Amino acid sequence: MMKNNRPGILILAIFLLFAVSGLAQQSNTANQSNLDTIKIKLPKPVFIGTPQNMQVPNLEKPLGKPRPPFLAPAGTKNVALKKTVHSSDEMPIIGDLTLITDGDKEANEGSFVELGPFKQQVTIDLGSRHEIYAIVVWHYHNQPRVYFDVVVQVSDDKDFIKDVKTVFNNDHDNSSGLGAGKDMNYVETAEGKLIDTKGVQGRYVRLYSKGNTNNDLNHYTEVEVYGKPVK
Amino acid sequence: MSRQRFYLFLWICVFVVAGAFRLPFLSLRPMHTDEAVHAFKFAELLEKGQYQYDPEEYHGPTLYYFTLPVAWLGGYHSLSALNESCLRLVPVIWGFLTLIIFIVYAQRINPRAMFLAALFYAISSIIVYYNRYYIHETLVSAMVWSTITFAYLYTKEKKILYAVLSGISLGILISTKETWMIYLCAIVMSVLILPEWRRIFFANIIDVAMFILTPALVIAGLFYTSFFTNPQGITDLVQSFHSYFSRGIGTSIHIQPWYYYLKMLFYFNVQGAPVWSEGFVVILAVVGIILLINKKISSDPDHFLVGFIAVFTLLIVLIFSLLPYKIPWNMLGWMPGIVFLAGWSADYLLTHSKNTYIFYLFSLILGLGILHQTWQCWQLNYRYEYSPANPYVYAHPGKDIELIKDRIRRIAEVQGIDTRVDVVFKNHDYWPLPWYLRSFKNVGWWDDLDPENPLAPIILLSVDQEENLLRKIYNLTPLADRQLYLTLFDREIELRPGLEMCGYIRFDIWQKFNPPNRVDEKLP
Repeated sequence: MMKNNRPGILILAIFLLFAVSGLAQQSNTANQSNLDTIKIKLPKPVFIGTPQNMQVPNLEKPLGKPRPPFLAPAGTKNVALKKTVHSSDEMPIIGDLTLITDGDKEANEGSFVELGPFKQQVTIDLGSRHEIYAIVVWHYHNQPRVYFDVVVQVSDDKDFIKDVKTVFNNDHDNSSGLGAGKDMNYVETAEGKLIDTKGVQGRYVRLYSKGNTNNDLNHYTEVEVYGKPVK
Repeated sequence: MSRQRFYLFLWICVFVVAGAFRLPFLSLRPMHTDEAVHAFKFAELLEKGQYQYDPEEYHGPTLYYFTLPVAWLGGYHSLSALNESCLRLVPVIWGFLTLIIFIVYAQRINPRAMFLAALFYAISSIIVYYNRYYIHETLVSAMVWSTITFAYLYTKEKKILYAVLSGISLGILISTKETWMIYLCAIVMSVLILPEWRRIFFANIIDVAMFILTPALVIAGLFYTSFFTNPQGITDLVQSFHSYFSRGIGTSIHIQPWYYYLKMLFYFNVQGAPVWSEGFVVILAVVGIILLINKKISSDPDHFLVGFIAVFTLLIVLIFSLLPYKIPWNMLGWMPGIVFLAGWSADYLLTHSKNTYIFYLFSLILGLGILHQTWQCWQLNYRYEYSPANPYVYAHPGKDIELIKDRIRRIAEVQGIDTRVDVVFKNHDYWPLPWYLRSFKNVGWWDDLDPENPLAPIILLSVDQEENLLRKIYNLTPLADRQLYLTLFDREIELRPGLEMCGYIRFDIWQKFNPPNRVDEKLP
């Protein structure tokens, strides 16, 4: 029975092959003829609320993507974790100074310290001299803000009178009296601001700020100092 | 000239001054994001006859409904036909209506005090600035003060008509912006604080319910249900309490310290620009309140009204200052109270210093103060109208919008309004571009660059998207399909302060487009 049906099956297979290739050809031709007629459904504009008022001169452009990895010598770690912090405002309005180096950099209430208005500073005592490769600072990232006159210094002198090395300064008009800086203003984000300190050495790290775009107060959520002890 | 004719002449002068500051060059300032959004919301009503209240955003319906007759009279029937002048004329008209309130008071109480108050209103920089702004605030301000004025007239003359007009004003206020709750609370608190008002209120509580609250609820019901076509509007109104209460006290990008408004009114300076201040009028208002507290004017027959306005203004300033959410145009709601008190105290000081050298000294200070306010009003509305040095400019597009407008106009001329334009900004933060591209029929508004979509010949995007676009043009597009794109602008431009954008144009269109500054370039 099977032997007698072979020519029929062969003819059917050839017919099917032609049919499929013909359909494919047709489909291909149709695809080619549609090449110029792609219709894109364009989205309508989406309404938004009142945008934020951000009128800050010398403002850094948004990166628009995650920060590239920062390279430092092996063994570098956050040497500021749980270290002692002093401040020009030893009686903060909200929170206490230990929050600056407690390792918690969330945007929640209870994670940041609020210092008084105008120029204020915090000083982190690393306990000993360190070679510092990077400082990362989160002032307050619950909303996009710019903190003014951010100046970061490293020194072996706890009073920052002698041997002071300034590693970041965006006080372009010297209104804080620490010298005019050329660094740019930046918007606070959850990534924090990474300052490349290029291996500067010192025991104390001091960070100044002078209010922000929302109010005259100063905030710190966390400061991390990446370095290695000097042997 | 009789005394009446003299005051008629002065009132005409005040209206001419108010008009001279409010009416000219209404399209001078670029459209703010909020104005552009409201224009699009209004266009839905204009073109399709549809409006539906949204409890989360855009506030109440009255702004859109009151724009309809202005647009119809102007012969505008579509979004593309609308212009800035047509839209901004609506708040200008309501600003004028607020001015009439001072005439009502002048007829019944002190005409000189009310003339001075009206003059302060006419030349106030902040009032003029937001009277020329297509947002709800002028309407809110007008309705707050007409509610109070008609209620006052009702207490004095006992005519039911005044109570009903007060109720209608309250209904329009409720239908305008969710901040009506704050104003109503302040009105009720002021009534309860002042013994005379409290006595009248409780003696007439049935009349208040029947002739003020009932019309107010009917009017609000009409607007929120879009004239009975959207019953859901009523429940949405109730839901809006939660949305706006959370916003008022919660976290927001508009959170400011308690002194934000006061600081802005007293002193504002950006390096290189003059110092701006409404301090002259605010100090006069404070003097008026001090006089009132010291009962210097308690024997005055209109102490009844001045006392109410002083308490209400203080309460409303206090409430708005304590709320963390702050936006400068909220001040418009209480500015009529401040100019009222300023006019009142200026008149008191003039009257009580008559025939002394203090009279001449105060007259001189008053004259100089009015001159300063007039100069400042002109500067802030016609010279610094979108400058960051202007305290009332809030997240406003700057001068770069002129360049964007010019490029868009030229594209329309050489390529037509059917040209496909893609606009790519994160979080849909591309406003007010939709307003400037409103005549284009083929615009795509994207949150992100879609790698699947073919490239449009014109692309406007925020700088953080530029790298993705270049990757798409030169890496993701097959070699055979790649086209040359050029930058649309010669430099980086800002859509708003802090929001940089750029533009790209396909080479074949650029050849037609041919901006003159490029044609003249000499190649090496």
